[in-house]
Amino acid sequence: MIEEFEKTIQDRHQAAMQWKEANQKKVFGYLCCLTPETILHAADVLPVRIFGSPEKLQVADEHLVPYGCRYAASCLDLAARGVYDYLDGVVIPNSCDLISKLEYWWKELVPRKGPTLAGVELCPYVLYIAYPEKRTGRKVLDYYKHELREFKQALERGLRREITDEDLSRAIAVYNEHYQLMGQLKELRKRSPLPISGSEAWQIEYASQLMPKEQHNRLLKGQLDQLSQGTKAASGVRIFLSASATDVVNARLYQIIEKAGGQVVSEDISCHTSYYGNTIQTNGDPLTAIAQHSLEIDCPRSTETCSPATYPYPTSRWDRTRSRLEGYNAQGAIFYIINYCECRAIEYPYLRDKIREELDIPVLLLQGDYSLEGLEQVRGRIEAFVEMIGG
Amino acid sequence: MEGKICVGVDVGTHSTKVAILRGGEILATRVMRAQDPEAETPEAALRAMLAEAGLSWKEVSFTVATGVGRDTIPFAQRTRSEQLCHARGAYYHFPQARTVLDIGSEGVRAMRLNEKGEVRDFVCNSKCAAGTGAFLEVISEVLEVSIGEMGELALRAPGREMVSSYCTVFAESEVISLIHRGRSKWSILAGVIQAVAERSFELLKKIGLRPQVVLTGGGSQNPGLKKALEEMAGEEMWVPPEPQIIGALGAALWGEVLTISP
Repeated sequence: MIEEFEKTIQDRHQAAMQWKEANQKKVFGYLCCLTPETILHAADVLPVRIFGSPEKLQVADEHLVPYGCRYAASCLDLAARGVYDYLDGVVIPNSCDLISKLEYWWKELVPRKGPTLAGVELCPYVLYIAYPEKRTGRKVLDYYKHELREFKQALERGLRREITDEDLSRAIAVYNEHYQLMGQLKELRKRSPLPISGSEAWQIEYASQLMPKEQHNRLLKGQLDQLSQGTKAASGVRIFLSASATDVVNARLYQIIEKAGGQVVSEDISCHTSYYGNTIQTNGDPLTAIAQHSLEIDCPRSTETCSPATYPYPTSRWDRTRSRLEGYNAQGAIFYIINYCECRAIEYPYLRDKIREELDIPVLLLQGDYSLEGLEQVRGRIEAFVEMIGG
Repeated sequence: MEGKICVGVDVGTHSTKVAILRGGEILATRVMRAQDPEAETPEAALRAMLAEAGLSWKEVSFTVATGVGRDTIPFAQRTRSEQLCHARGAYYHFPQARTVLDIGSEGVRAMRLNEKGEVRDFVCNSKCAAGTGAFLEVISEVLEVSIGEMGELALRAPGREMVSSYCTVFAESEVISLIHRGRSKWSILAGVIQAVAERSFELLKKIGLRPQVVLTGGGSQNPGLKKALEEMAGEEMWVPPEPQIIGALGAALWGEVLTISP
């Protein structure tokens, strides 16, 4: 795999700090795929995804409920311990319940003031985005555009610069290129034999959330050229992986699957850049296009089950899940759901039944506590599942 | 008796089991307690078993290891998961088996089989030991009853106390408090076994209870547990001979398959 991807993954904090030092620019951290990265990019800011760590909680445990997602708690814990002190700002959208609450706890445990003018705070250190609960409806786009405009204005005040439509269009072009390149990578993973292992593909995805998109695009282009020549082949039972949070815990999951004789060929993982299946429209108002694109994000948080009285089943999630299985000739589906991740837990029974009934593909459910030790306990099940399919 | 010799070794938490097959027929089996310092190593046991059968180590065609410690058997050519081995072992005795419940020391697994004996789906107990053989062992110590006689004694109980099954430590406390309240030991035992059966039955419900249900693993030797499960399911469940060696038997049977297409 490309050395620069590995270097960034091995010490993501160091990589961001070095970039900041070398470029004398700001670095903002963000949680969840619902954050409009393009607006940050247009403001000449490097957006880096905030991830957790499988280390034991040291601070956050005292403040958060014990029956909450350990991944979100871990992100907060690292911040409270000063690991994310290099960030110039933090963006938190109201994705799941616990992430939404992190806005409050981040302010409490990392009490930093944003830039001020005559003693008045121009922009809070922690920026909150109220993503709509319902993604469809007559006024949803208007509402969200208004929300993003306020977000943009807060950034403009804090950074003391205007973010013009041209800036936004330039950022959209960079991100569209990224989505297209990631789309090409996904297409390559449909091939048999598989030109890239699941864990290598994960590295590319993970790095894309930590390094400047221009740099990632350049590196990925070279990687895609190599892969399309088909000199390498990864073998194994073809697995679709659906999981909470994309970070080192997931990385170990890929390794366990591969050691058991499987290969992840497609995935549906929280905050994966794969969520951006479509590109952003380039004709018309760029902020509207960004809002529209953001509303199309296929995240389990935003399924129809948000309005259970009207839509009892997450049918749109099934449509996307089906496409992630069928085109890739997946032979098995593994769902790894972090304890208390209600977004994924709610949709799981429906998706499991649909996968079994309509595609006749076996499904394995794993539950975890966002720890590497916890993954060791499910290793045997993964081995049994892969053996069951592979014979 | 002619045919190739295949060996299965099941390294469990509390015991190691070895099975030798010749030409698809069971030639010898052995169970060694893991906690017994005098117990033979799997290799020594296998050597002794082969010698008793008048065979040499070289005559073994293929060895497959299974169980939680399957990676610790250096002489095994391959490993296979417990799920696949218990299913194959159960199917060997009962080709009608469509659901297999393995009640092991620290793991309970339910497998769904097709008509060829292939595993089509499985579910396992959660990380906690509650509802497993280890749970019964803890309670047997508290009640000062041997694990072997627990089931028989529970069957003779005049009633049944309520014991929760979601945490071994809490259940142990509950049992101690029931003893302090002067409740009958047999009724407590019946309650404990009922609790274990309920946990195992949850897995059977999850996998879809399709007859014929076959019970394997050391826990299936407990007649009280078998009866409780049968009452819940409303149908008879079958137990193969020597149910604790079914994993090793399955591993040896996998050896027969893998020696053809390793």
